[in-house]
Amino acid sequence: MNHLRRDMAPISTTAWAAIDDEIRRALPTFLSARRLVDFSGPHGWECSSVDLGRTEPVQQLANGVEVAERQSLPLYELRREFEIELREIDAIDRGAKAIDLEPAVDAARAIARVEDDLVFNGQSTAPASGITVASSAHALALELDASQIPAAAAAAVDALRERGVGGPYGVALGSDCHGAVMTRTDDGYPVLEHLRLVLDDGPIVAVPVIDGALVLCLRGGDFELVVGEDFSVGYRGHTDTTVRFVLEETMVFRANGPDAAVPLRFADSAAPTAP
Amino acid sequence: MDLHESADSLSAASLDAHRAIRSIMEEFEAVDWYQQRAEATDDVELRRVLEHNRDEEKEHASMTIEWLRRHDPALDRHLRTYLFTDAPITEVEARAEAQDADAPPATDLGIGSLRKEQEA
Repeated sequence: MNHLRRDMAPISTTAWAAIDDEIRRALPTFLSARRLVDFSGPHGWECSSVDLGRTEPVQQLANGVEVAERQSLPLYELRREFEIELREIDAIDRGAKAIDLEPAVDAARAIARVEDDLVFNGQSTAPASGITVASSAHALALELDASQIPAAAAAAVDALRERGVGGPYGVALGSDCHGAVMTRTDDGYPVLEHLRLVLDDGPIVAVPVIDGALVLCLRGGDFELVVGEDFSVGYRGHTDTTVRFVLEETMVFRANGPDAAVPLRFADSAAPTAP
Repeated sequence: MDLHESADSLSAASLDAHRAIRSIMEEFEAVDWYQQRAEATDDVELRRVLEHNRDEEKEHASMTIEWLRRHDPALDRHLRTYLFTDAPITEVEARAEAQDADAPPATDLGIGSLRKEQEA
C-alpha cells in the first residue's frame, strides 16, 4: 500500500475503476496548460524539488572557502477531497450505468483550475512565477473589439520573431476572448479562421484563469510543467453513507524563457464587445 | 557464415544477430589469445603492444554487445538485471524480483501531456 491508501477503501475494484474513469475523462476537458507548455514527468511521489542549476552564496569567504547553496524549486502538493454516496458506489457494483459521480468531476474541475492558475499566473516569486507574470515586460495592448484579436496575435508573433523566438506558436485565450473568437466574424470572415492563419494552425486553447490572451512559443524548453505524482485518486475515510476520496498531484511550473511569450492585455479590464 | 540452418530459412534480423554474436566470439577469443601471449613473452615492449591490442578487442566486443542489446529485448532485460550490480551475482536475480514485487503499481490516472491535441 502507498500513501493513497486505496487498499483501505471499502469499495470494489469495479467502483475504483468507475471513479478513476470518470475523473480521467473529465480532467482533459478542464486542463489548459498541458495543451501548451512542456510536460516533464511524472517523476513520482518522492520527487520533492527541481534542480535549478544555480547557487546562492550563503557565507562570506572564510580562510579562502566559499559556501554556496544549491538552488532548487520545491513542488506543490495539490489536493481536493470529494465524497461519493455509498449507495452510488453500491449501484456501480450492481451494474448501474447512471451513477452520480458529479463530486468527482467537481474535484477534477477545481484542481485543474489551480494547476492552470499556477502555470499562467503563478506565485509572486520567480522562478515559480506564471507565464503572464514572467513575460509581463513583453505585454502588448489588446483592442476591445474582438475582431482585432488576430491582429494583436500577429503583432505578438512578430515581436517573438523579432526577439529570435521561432515557432511554432500557440495562443491561450481568456474566457471573454475565447467566446468572442469562437462566435465573431470580421466582414463575414470568422475571427477563428483568421487567428488560425496567424498561428499557422497552432493550438488555440481556452484558459479561463487568464484575462485577455497570451501568445507563446511551443518550440520547447521555455515553459515547463514539472509533475511528480500525476493526478491520482486516494482514499481518505468513510461514514455509514459516504466515502471520502482525494484527488491529488504534485507539480511546479518553471518559466525558463520568459521572452518566449507575449501577454495581450485589454487597455482596461473590459471584455471584448458583444456581437 | 557458419550457420546451423539454411540461410534461406532465416530472417535478416537473425542473420544480423548471428553476425554480431560471431563477431563478439571472435573479439573475446582474440582477448584470450592476446592475454596468453602477453603473459608468455619475455620481451617487455612486445608485452605492452599485446596488452594494448588485447584491450582494444575488449572495446570492439563492448560495442557489438551494445548493438546486440539494442536489438534483443531479452538480452536487454538480463543485462539490466545483472550488469553494474554489487550483490553476489547468483543473488542478483532474486533481489531484482523482490524489488519488482515491492514496487507499488502505477496508480496515477495517466493524464500526462495533452499537447498533441489541438483545440479550436
